[in-house]
Amino acid sequence: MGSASAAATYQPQRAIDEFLLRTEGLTKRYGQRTVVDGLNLEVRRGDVFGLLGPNGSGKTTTLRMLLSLVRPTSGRIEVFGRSATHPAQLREAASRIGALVEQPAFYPYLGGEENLTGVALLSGMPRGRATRERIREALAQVGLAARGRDAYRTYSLGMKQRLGIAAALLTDPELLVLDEPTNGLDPAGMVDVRALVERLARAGKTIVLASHLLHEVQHLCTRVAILKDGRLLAQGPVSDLATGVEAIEISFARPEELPRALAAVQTARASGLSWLGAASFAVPEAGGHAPPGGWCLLVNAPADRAPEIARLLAARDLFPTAMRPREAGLERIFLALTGESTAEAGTTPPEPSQPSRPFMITTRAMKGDVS
Amino acid sequence: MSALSASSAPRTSPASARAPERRVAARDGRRGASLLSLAGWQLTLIRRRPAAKVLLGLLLGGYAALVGVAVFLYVTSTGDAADDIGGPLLARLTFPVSISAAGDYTDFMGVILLSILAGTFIGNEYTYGTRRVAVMRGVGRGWALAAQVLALAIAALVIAAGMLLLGTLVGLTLGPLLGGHPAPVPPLGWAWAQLPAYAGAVALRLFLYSLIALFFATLGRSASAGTAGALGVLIVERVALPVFTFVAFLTLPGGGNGVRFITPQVNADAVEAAARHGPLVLTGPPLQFEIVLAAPALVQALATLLLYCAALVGLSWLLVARRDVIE
Repeated sequence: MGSASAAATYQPQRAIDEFLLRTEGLTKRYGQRTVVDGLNLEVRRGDVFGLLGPNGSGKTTTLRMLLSLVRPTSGRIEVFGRSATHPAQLREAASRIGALVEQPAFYPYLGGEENLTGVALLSGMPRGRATRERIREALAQVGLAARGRDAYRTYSLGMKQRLGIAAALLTDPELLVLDEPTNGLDPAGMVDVRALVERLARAGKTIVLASHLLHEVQHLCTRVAILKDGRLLAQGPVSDLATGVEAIEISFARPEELPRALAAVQTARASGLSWLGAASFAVPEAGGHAPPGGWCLLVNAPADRAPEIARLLAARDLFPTAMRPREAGLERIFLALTGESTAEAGTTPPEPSQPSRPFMITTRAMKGDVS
Repeated sequence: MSALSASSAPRTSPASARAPERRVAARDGRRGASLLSLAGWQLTLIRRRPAAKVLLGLLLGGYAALVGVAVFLYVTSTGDAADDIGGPLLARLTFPVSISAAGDYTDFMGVILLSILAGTFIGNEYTYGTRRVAVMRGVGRGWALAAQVLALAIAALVIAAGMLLLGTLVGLTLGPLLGGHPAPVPPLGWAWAQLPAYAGAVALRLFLYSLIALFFATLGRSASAGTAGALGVLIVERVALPVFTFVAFLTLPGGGNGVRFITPQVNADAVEAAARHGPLVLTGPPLQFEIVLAAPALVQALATLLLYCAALVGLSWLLVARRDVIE
């Protein structure tokens, strides 16, 4: 979360409420299969907007519709304040949008510089020294200046990805659409690309970033939209989304107290305590107190309710050794919203006699609890 | 790490400051780029393809070999063979029949090679994913197709003109060296229109087959579909048409001459018509094994040809305009 709030400082003060991109009821069907279902997205000027979702959630199809590669079945797209639902309408805005969708697409027998010359031409940039200089500048921006004349087919996967980013940056676009930009990059390359995205965001670019790498999105994005099965589950600043998934880690001196504590919380919840969310066994976060047996109780509840939970447990002769709020990282938000399984949480009681094997339990305990 | 950060850190802000200028540089034109510059880019791509160099080498090498064989046969023919084979061969090595000899060769070999080139060129736009770049950059789907069609037309024209120029050179140099007598071209009159018309007919034939390749590559979204489609049509018509024509000749009134117009093979007739209908005699005396069919009227042949071209471009446009870019 810390990094997400740091990322929030990128937001320029000017025109913060201006929508650069908006969709209303955006839907794509292939036959009977609905790939994107009534999507309402709002990207403001200066946003670094993360599009998150498991594989097959409709991220790429959404981006393709935004870039007029795929025609929506229904719904509306607005770019720079003007309707862009039909490809012909988006054409006018195309030079203001830079995009890298899935794999970079270039001619293998041409050099990087020549490939970018083609992109410049397609973008309507005139031939001449100014364009050539801009191409070199874009290559330098992604660290390919020295390899600009080499044939694209000789590039490594990471270099190809960088050339794709250079192509997206070529017209110095206001809106940058990046689909898995760190795909295929080595760790150093990933850091480079993230740093580049940060710098572009600081310079006032609006960026739409689709990724399944949660830490990447959490680190870079100011706002996120979470998709599953083509539907929008949540949208907003990471900090706002986190409010629904606050949790408290509770540790006990003896592992056998955990099932009793879980039962106590579940009973209290069933009796109508609306602020009390689901409870499960979990492995404490790194750096946290490691209880005997390796497990703790994780209760979805606001941190300021900790004393009430302590009283509730004390009424059953259960006295925690430690209670601490667990940071609601994007990963937890994502897992809570999408119902994806996690290997760290469960409601199956831990086996006290086998405290060293806590990662064996996998459930969908958090599904639907916080949406 | 530093590849990115070192080079770009100081650049980001100034780049942003200059953004408005750049956006002006990227023209706000509705089409993103003009048709001519797009077609020019397509031609650059064709020219830079390694396959283009190989195919051009095959085309020129094949022609050189053919001329070499003709010279060898002419020089070595004696007695009756000198009259039966040597005479027609010398005519084909001498201007202006040398032009139609080069045209016939282009009509056969050029069509095959350009079909391969066009099929791979168009199909690879899908394989490489480069088609989506054009669409994302604001180039309309129809506009991109128009640029490809224009590039193929220019390529066909350049190949036809180049090959006929080679035929002219052979006819004005090699033919006289072997004892041939080039026919003088009348300084005024239709002769000067007949030569471009002939070159145009050859170019149109090449163009038509490149359009067949374009259609199949667009349909199958791959290079193999484009190449196989065009060559498939060529093989089928070369094998099936003679049979078809023969059956029609036997069974239909008027010798079934009109039946021949149902396949693109009619373009060969257009080439033939352009060679025969004019003041210059571009066709030499027939070789012994040659069967000469009556050529249709040039206008009729060209009209059929243009109809085919329009239909192929139209079908390709329908495919391009209606389908999503998912590759």
